[in-house]
Amino acid sequence: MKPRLPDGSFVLFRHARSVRPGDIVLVQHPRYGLITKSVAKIYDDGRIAIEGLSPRSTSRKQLGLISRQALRGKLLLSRPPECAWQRA
Amino acid sequence: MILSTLLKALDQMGMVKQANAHCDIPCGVYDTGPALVAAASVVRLMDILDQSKNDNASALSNQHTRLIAEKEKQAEIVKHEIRVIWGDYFKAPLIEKHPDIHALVHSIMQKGSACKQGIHREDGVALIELVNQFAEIFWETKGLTTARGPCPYEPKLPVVYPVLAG
Repeated sequence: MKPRLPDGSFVLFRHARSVRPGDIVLVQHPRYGLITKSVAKIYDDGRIAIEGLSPRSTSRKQLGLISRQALRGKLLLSRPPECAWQRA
Repeated sequence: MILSTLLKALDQMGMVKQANAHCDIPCGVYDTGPALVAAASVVRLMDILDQSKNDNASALSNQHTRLIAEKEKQAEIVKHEIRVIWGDYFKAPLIEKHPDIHALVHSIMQKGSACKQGIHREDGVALIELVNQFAEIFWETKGLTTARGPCPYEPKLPVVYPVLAG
């Protein structure tokens, strides 16, 4: 399965006050740095569970719950890299 | 078109941050050495197999089984090592510079399988040569020149290693 965001994609995020499960977000993760993941679940205390869309991704458990402050933005648009081979 | 030109320009100006999607450990430690050692081992094992063909039957069956199993293992190591470098290290800009890399890797996979299936020395020698070509490209991407010379152990066939600065 090809990744939702092929390697080398340009991705534009916008600041977002609220996110919903399924949204692709940009996160400043305390352990993994600047990463892009999908929102899995939002807990009552406001913390957010994130997950990758690839089976090879780091697991939800390893990623842990992130705070709203760690959210940098929500996907606005993405553009795959120009290299034809990577789009295939 | 305008958008992609704009995005590229912004990227070149350092205005675009990079975010990771997979969080693999970004160790970046890749080397063609293990693939070459495994490829040399394949030929060495083929040679030992050939030398032992006149041994008596009972000794032969035990030793042959071990040699054949090891030869298949080493050929699989070659395939694995090359697949990892090709799949994880080679990204779009490097592939654009070295468009033949896919065909070369495919040849290594095919030749590696031939070495598992048979005991033809020429397949083993060809496998080393293909890995050498891969190594030359790989080290070029690291900005290093390479030296080609016979490995200082059997089967003493030419192998490619980088010339490291002192």
